[in-house]
Amino acid sequence: MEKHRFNLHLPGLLKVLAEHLYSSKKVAIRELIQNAHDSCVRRKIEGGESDYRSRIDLDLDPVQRTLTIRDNGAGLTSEEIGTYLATIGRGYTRELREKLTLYSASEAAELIGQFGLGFLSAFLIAAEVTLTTRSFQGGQASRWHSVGDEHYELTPGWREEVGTSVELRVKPAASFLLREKELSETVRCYADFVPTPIYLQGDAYPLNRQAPPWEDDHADVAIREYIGRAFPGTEPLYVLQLRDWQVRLADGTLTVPLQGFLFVPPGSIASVREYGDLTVYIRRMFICDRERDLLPPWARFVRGVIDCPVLQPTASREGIHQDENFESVQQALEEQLGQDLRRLAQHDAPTWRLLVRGHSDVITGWAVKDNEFFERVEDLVVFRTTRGLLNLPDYLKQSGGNLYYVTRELGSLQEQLLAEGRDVPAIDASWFAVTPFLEKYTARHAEVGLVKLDGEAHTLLRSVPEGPFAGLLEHYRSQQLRARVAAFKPLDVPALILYPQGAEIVREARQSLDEGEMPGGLAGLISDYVERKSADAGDFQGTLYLNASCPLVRRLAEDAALGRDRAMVLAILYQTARLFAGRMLAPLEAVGAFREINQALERMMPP
Amino acid sequence: MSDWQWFEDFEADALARGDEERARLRQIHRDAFDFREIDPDRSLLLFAEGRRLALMLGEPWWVLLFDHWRVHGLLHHKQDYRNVLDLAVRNVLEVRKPKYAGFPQKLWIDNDLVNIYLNLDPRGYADEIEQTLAQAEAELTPERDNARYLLLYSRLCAASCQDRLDDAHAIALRIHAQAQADPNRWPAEHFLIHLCETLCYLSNRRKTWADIAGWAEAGEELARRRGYQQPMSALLMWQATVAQRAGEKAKAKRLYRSASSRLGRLKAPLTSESYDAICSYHELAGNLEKALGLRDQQLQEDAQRGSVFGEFQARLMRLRLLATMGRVSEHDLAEARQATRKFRQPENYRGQIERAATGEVG
Repeated sequence: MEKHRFNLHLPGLLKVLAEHLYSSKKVAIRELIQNAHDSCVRRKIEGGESDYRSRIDLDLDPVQRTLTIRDNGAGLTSEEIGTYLATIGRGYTRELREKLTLYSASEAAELIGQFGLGFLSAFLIAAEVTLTTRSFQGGQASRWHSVGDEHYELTPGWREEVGTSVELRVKPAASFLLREKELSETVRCYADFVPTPIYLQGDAYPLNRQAPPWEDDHADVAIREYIGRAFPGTEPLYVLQLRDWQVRLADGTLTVPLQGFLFVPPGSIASVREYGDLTVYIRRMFICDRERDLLPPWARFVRGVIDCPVLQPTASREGIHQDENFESVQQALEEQLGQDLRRLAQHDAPTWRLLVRGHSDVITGWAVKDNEFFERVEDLVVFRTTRGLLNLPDYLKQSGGNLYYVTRELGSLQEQLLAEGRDVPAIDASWFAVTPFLEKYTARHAEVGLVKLDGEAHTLLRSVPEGPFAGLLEHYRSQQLRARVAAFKPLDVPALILYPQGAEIVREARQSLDEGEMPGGLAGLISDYVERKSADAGDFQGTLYLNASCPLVRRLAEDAALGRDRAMVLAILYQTARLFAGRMLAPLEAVGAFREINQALERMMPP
Repeated sequence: MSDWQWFEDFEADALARGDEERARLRQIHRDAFDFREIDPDRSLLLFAEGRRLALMLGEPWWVLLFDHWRVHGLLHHKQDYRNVLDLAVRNVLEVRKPKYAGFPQKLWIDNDLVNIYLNLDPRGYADEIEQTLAQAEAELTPERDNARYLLLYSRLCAASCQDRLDDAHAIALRIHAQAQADPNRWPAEHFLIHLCETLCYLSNRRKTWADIAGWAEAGEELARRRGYQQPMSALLMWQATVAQRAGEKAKAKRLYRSASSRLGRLKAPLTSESYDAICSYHELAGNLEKALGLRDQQLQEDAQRGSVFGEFQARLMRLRLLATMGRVSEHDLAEARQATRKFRQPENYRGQIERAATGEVG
C-alpha cells in the first residue's frame, strides 16, 4: 500500500486557526498573557535564580496603534523559536509539563499552556506581530516578525534583559484593546488569578489579584468579598468552599482536584432568574462563565466559581470537553454540594429555611424530578396559600391533614373563600410544579389527603334537606336555573354559583360553534367534545347553591310576609353570585347582572 | 415564513436587543424538545415552565406554542390521553382569536385534535377527521413544510387505524417520496425517521416481511445520525425480528439486546409499534408466553393512560396471540367486546375482534 503525505496550505490554516478557532478577539490577550506567565514559570523552574521576581507589563501606544506584552520570563533561543514558536501545534509548555508531572506536580500545575496554538491568536487582533526575545540560557537576542502569512523573518534583535516582548500592531477591528479601561477589564477577566503580576503602563500596582480568594488566609471573608465584586448586588445566603473530592468509579476511586466555591444567591424566579451556572478556571486561567452542565440539574439556585486542572479545555479554551473527567467533576460537585446541603438542613436550620424560601419555585420544580432531593426539601419548601407562605408540615397542622389546592390561573377566589370558610387554607398551585410536588408528597405520605378545589368545590359544601328552602329553590327553578341548597361557611355568603371543571372551554366552544367560526370537520369534533363534557359533568350553566347557614337565606325561606321583596332579594342574590363567580361572564353579561341588581334595588326603594 | 422560522427570528432579535428573558423562551423550547423522547416528564415540565415565562413576558404566540407542545408531548411521548382533550380543544379555540392571525403553527394545533380523535374512535369519527384534514390541507401554503408532513402523517395514521393498510402503505410511500425530494433536510429527515418505523410496522401487519429490513436499516442510520433514541431503538428491534425470521439467531440476539437495553433506558413508555416489534421477535423465537406477558403489560398501560384505540389494539393483538396458542377464553372475548363500547360506534370494531379470536387478523 502506498502512503502519501498531507499537503498543508499554511496561510489558509493560519487564517482558520487565528480567525475561526476563537469566538472573541479578547481571547488573544488571554493567550499572550498565558504564554508570558508560562515563560516566567519556566525561568523560575529552570533558571535557578533565588531572587527572581516575575512580572508582565502591558504598554499601550494608541497613536502608533501598538500593544506590547513584555515579560521577564525565560525567553527563547533562536533554535527554540524555530522549534516551538514557528511550529503550529507544538509548545514548550506542554512538553515541560509532561516532564515535570513525573517529579514535580505542583510546578507542573503552575503551567497553563497546552496546545501550542495560543500564539496564533495574536493575529486575531494584530496585522503585524514582532517578538523580541532573549533567552536565560544565554546568547543574542532574536527578533521574529510576521504579518500572518506563511513567512516569518528571524533576525538578530536587541534586548538588554532576559525575557520576551510581543509587539502587536492592532487591527482596526480590535481598537477597543487600545483603550486602557477595556484592556484592564479584559486582563482582569482572564488573568485575575494568574500568579504573575501584570502591570499596565508602568503602574505601581498590578492589575490582577494574582491569587484566587479561596487561597486567602481568611478564605471565607475573601470569597464573600469576591462575590460582591464579581457578582454585583449579590449577598449570598450560603457559601460552600470546594475541596478535593473522592468519587467512586466502577473499578475504584478517583480523587478530583477541585478548588473554588459554590454559593446560593438571595432569590431566584423560575424561568426568569435561574442559575445553576459556574465560572470555570483551569490552572487559574479563565475559560468560561455560565457553564450550565457541571452542576446537577436540580441545583438551579446555585452559582459558583471553580478551578479544576483535570477539566480539558477545547482547543480555543473557551469551553470544556464533556469527557470522562467532566463527568467525574460533575459527580464530585453533585456529591459535595448534596452532602453540604444535608449538613446545612440538619445543623443550620435558619440558613436552610432562608435558602429554601428564597428559591422555592426552582427547588419545587427540581424536587419533583429528583427523589433524593425531594426528600431533602419536602418539608421545607414553602407554598403560597390563602394564609401566606407556609411549608407543608405547618400547612397540615392548620388543614387537619389534607392538602387543598387550586390550579386555576384566574378566578379561584370562590374556591379559596370556601376553603377558608371551612377553616382550611388553600394552596395556590397555579405555578407549574406545585401540583406534581403535592401529588408526590401525598404519594409518599399515605396519611395525607389531596383535594383539588377547581371544579370540585362542592366537596366543601354540606348537603341539607331541601324542604325548608323549597320555595326559594322553586323560584329559581321556574326560571330554568339549576338551584340547590347546602350549608357552607363563611355564613356571610348567601349564595354561590359553582361550575364543573372545563366549563369555560365548553362555553367558549359553544359560542364558537354558534358563531360558525369552525370549519365543518373541526366543528364536528368540537361538537362532540361539548357533548362529551355535558354528559360527564351535567349543566355547564353552573349550579346556584343557596347557603342554608346564612341568616339572610334562612329569613328569606322562613318569612312569608316578605312578598314581592323576596323575589327582588333572590334576584340580587343570584346576580351577585354570578358576578362573584365572574369567570363565566362575558362583559355584556356582567353589565346585565349589574342592571338587574339596580332594578331590583330600585323596586325595593320607596317611590 | 417557514413553520419554524419565526422561532429563530424571535431568538435572534431578542439576543440582538440583549433581551435574555425572551431569548430564554427559545432555549427552553430547545431543551424541552431535546428531552421529549428520553425523559418526557422533564420535557413537559419545561414546556409548562416556558408557558409560564411566556405569560409573564406577555408573549401570546409563545404561550400557545408551548401549549401545543404540551399536547404533543402528552400524545406522542407520554401517550397519556386522560386530560389532553381539554387542552387540545382550548388550543383550537384560542388559535382562532385575532391575536393569532398568521400564527404558523395553526395547522399543527388542528392536527393535534385530529390525533386525539384518531385515538378516541378513528372509524366513528372518520368523516370529521377526513373533513378536518382536507380543510387543513386546503389552508397549506408552500412554506408550511412541517404542517404538510404532519397532515399527511395523520392521513397515514387514519388509514392504518381504520384498517386500510394498503392505503396507509401508499400514503407512507408518498411521504417518503416527498421527504426524499425535500431540499429542507431538517424536517424531511425528522419525518423520514418516524416514517421508517411506521413502514416496518405496516410491513409487519401486511405480512410483507421482506420489506422490513430495508426500512429498519435506513431508518436506524438516520436516527443514529440525528440522535433520535426512541426510533433508533425500535428500528433495531425490527432488525432483530428480521434476523430472527432469517434464522440468524446470534445476530438476532445481539440486535435484540442492543434494542431492548436502549428502550429500557428511555423514560418514555413503549409505543404500540415497539410492542409489535418486541412481541414479533418473541413469537418468531417461539417464546409465546413472553409475548403474551408483554401484550398484557401493553394492555394495562394503555388502559391506565386512557388510550382507547391503543387498548383496543392491544386486546386485538392479545386475542390473536391467544388464538395462536389455542387459549382464547370466553372471558377474554367478552372483555374485548366490552372494550369496544368505549367507541362511539362499537359495531365498527366488533368484526375485527371476532376475526382476531380465530387468529385471522395480523
